Order: sequence, then structure tokens, then C-alpha cells
Amino acid sequence: MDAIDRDLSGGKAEGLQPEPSAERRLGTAVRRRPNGFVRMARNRKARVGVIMLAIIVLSALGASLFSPAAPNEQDVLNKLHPPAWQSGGSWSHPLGTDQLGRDMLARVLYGGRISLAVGITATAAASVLGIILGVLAGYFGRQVDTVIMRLVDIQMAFPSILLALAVMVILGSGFRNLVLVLGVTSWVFFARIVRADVLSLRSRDFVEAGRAIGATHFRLMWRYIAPNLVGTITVVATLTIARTVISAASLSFLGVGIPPPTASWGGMLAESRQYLSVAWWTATMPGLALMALVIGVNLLGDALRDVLDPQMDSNNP
Amino acid sequence: MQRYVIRRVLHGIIVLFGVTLVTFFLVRLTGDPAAAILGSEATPEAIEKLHQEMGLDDPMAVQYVRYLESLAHGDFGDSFLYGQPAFSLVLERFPATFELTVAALAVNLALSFPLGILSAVKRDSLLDRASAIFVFGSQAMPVFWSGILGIMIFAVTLGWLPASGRGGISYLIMPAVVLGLHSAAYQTRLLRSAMLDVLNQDFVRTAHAKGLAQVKVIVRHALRNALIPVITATGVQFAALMGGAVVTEAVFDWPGMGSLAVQAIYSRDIPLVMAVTFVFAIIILVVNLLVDLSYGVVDPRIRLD
Repeated sequence: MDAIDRDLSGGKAEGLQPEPSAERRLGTAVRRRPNGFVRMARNRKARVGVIMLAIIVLSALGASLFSPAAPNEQDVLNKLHPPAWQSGGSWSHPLGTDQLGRDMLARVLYGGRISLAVGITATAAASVLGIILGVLAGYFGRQVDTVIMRLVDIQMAFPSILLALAVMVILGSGFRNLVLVLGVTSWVFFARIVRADVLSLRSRDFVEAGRAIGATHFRLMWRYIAPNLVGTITVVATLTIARTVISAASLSFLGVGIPPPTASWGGMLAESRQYLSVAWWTATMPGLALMALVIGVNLLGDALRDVLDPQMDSNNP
Repeated sequence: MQRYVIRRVLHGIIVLFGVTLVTFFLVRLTGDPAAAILGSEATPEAIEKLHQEMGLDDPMAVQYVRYLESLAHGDFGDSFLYGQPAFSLVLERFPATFELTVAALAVNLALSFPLGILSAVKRDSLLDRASAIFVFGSQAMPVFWSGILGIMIFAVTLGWLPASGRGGISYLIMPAVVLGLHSAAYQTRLLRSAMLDVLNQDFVRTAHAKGLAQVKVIVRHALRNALIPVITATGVQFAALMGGAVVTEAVFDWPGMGSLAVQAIYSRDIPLVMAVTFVFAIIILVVNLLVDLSYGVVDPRIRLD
């Protein structure tokens, strides 16, 4: 974090520090710009986001501890059992049960594991692809840039959910294919913004200096340019996690994501559609969980953007 | 200007070409179309016969070129599922999707413009806070979740609106609001930050200083300049709206191109998949072109060439 901070804003921030003498002359205490951690801790969005995420991550990791039953265990005598606080509910199933008598709390918690795992791994896959292609496009320009940016255009020309849907039908549903598909449909977010950053970095003096002392293309990209992308990438990655969590749930909702009976929020929502009139909780619980996760991640991403990269266009992740 | 339009159209054709290439090979990977048409009880002889009729034994490249050839004549082939020309099936569904997206766009604009502008003008006010909560909330509500919530509340519990299908205006309200709300979040944020940038600039201060009315400064001086980044994002935003329409149509059984696409993909109806993605791509490309051309109208300083 410290390193990120220094790399990103080092030049700018230090440039703004007045000389000590000037400080004395003005008679005002000009405080040093606090480091990234301190600024994150002072940011309200960051605090709320981190708390929300901590609760979700811990409860997903500890799913087996907090669940009153196994996620796929069927309690046939208690189908569509309401939550504990509603009449007819009981604390043996705090959030009620679904149409097969499976415990909602357990399924929501285990579904959270899947959502987090898919979101993080798919984002990692997308970032590797997107960063490599984005750096190449921005650094080499010309034909390399044209070809890569045409790829981006083609991908952006039709709804990525259709592409993902088609590929999932071809490859078959499942965790690995889901991660693959979401990685392949999300790389453009990284590629576009990384390319834009590299375009402005490649003509900067320190890169020219590196070139002058004979650094290879690879060395220039990896040692000179890449470290300056860390802040941008951190922000894009965080926001992409939220996006992929939603896409994964959409695909599960359409029936090609995580196959049943494994608990996933999208799949639970799809199953709940037939019971909306009799069991509101089957739709509400996974939906609220999904919402909480996405809000938490987006708050954190927004705060990171405020702190790491004030220059970044706040609306073009 | 003319040269710019020609160049953009050529660029669009290259992208469309790429789209057909990607979808063609992607769809062919799904398996044997002949077996898919005839179903699981088909004899190997019947499959073989259909193979020859459809030219499926020829090399992929030959099939692709033949495909492009017929495409140039506006012929996407017959849908396996319906036995009718795929292209006309898609066009039949187009009005429903158009109706849905236009209505959603109207909801989007009716929310995002007032919210985005006012939250920037009254920065850190109660309204700004409320709008931030709206943005984070609706961003986190994917259409299938807000759609189900809407059906549960307004169709099942209150019985005010129909849960699915297409008919009069009452059928349109829920899908349009669900899709519009989700897309309005992004637009609101974008407009707010663009307005904040512009409001800090000298010419806005000058306008204030010469005594212009607040409304006039905001609309005539600030908003026109803030619109540029908003318009730039509209292209990408529109593709997202189309993607949202696919899921929204699935949630509400809305008989548009999106639900047709989902159905076509599930049943491996190759001509239909190709036709529907092609039409989606054309729509998005045309909208992007119009967006780029509108720069000149909003900001006369921008010359397109």
C-alpha cells in the first residue's frame, strides 16, 4: 500500500509540499499528506465498505460454523418454512427453508462463498489478460494498438451477457467455465483504462531516460511503466469484482452458471420465482445478500479511487 | 464531416465482420447442428443426409464464406426452431425490445438528469446524500433481483401490475422501471461529476458575476459543457442497456429480441443466434455513430474530420 501510494502520487504530492522555510514564514503548520492507510481510515465510504465486506467474507468463510444445517440437507417435513420472526417460524431455521426444506441461512452463506470465489478469480483472470493487452496496445501503438482496440470494439458491440450465455451453453455450466467466461468478457475494462494510462506514461521523461540508457521494451514496460499502473489497476479490479459477481449471478439465474444443487445466489433467485406468492423469503434472502456484497465492494472501490488516484476519471472504471 | 461519416461506417463494417466471425465459430463449437435439429431420436442416416443438404461436411472456411455470401443477400437461413427465415423472426421481435429500451431510457433520463444536476449544484446537501444512496443501491440491484422484488410487491402482493408478458402500458411499467433504475445509477454519477468539474470553472463564475439567474447559468453554461462526457459514455452505456434488456426480458417473459436470443442459444438454433447477435451489433453500432455525430451539435467547437 505504501509503495502504491509513493509511486502514484509521490511526484505530485511532494511537489506540493512547501519548503520548511516557507512554512515558517507563513506561520501555518502545513501537514504532510498522510499515507494511504490513514486516508483510507478517514474515508467514510471505506470504513462502511470494509465493515460490510468483513462481515460477508467472515460469514462466508465460516459458513460451516454458522449454518444450522448443511446447505443441501433436505428437511422434508419443513418445506417453505418461514423465517424465525414470522408466525410459524422457528430458530432451527432462522431464515426459513426453501421448497425442498433446505435451510436458507446455510444456502445464503455457502452461496456467498461461491460468489466471492467467482468474483475474485474471474477478476484476476480478466486483469491478467486486460493488463497485458492494454500495456501492449498503449506502448507499441500503431498496428498493435489498432488490432487490440478493434477486439475491444467487437466485444463491446454486443451485450457481454449474450456472449457469456453462448459460451456457457457450449462449454457447459460449472465453476471453472464460469470463471473463464467472465474473465474473457471482462478484460476490456482493464485493457481500455490501462492503455490510456500507458499512452500518457510512455512519453514521460523517466521512460525516455530508461530508453536512452538502453532498456529493452520488456524492461521499459515491466519496470518503468507497470509500477505506475498499480493504483489504477487496484481500483478497476475492485469495481470489476462487483461487476463479475453480478454477471455470475445473472448467468446462474438464467440457468447456465453454477449448476444445482450447489447453492448460488443467482440460482436460488431463479428457483424462488415459482414460490413468490407463498414464500417471500426464498427470493429476498439471496437478493439482499447479493446487494450487500456489491454495495460493500463498490464502496471500497470508490474509496480506493478517492485515495489512490484523484486524477482518475471517477466514472469510467 | 462527410469523410468522417464514411470512415466511421467503414469501421462499423469491420466490427460487424468480426462479430460474424466470432459468433460463427463460437456457435459451430456447440456441436452438430444437424443432430440438434433432428433431436435425440434421429438415425445416423438421417443426420448424414441432413449434413449433405446443409453442406456441413465442407471445410469450416468454405461454410463461413458461403454464410457471408448469403448474409450479403440479407439471408440468415431458416431458424431450426421455427422453420422460418431467422432474420424476419428477429425483426418481428424488434418492436418489443425497442419499446422496452425506449421506455427504460425515459425512466433513466427522468431520474438521472434532475438527480445528477441537483446533487452537483447542492453538493453535500441532503439531496446529494440521498442521491448517493440511490446510486449505490440501484447499482447493486441487478435487473433479475429488482425484477423479482417488483413482481413480488406489485404483482403478487398488491396486484397492481401484471407479472409478465406484453400488452398495454400496465405490462410495460415494471420492466421499464426495473431496467431504467439500474442504468440510471451510472448516468447520475457521471452527470454529477461532470457538473462538478464544470461548475468550478472560470466561465461559470463569470456568468454568476454578471448577474445571470442561477437556472440560466446551470442550464445554459454548465449543463451544455457537462454533457460531453455524458454523451461519450452513452455508447458504452447503451450496450449495457441492451444487455440488461436481455435479462429483463427473461425475467418478465417479455417477447423481445433478448428472450428470443436466450431461447435460440439454449436450443442451439444457429441461424437464429447469428441473426439476433448481428441485429444487436448493428443497433449498438448505429447508436454509437449517432452519439459521435451529436458531439458537433452539443459543442460546435468539436469538428469531426
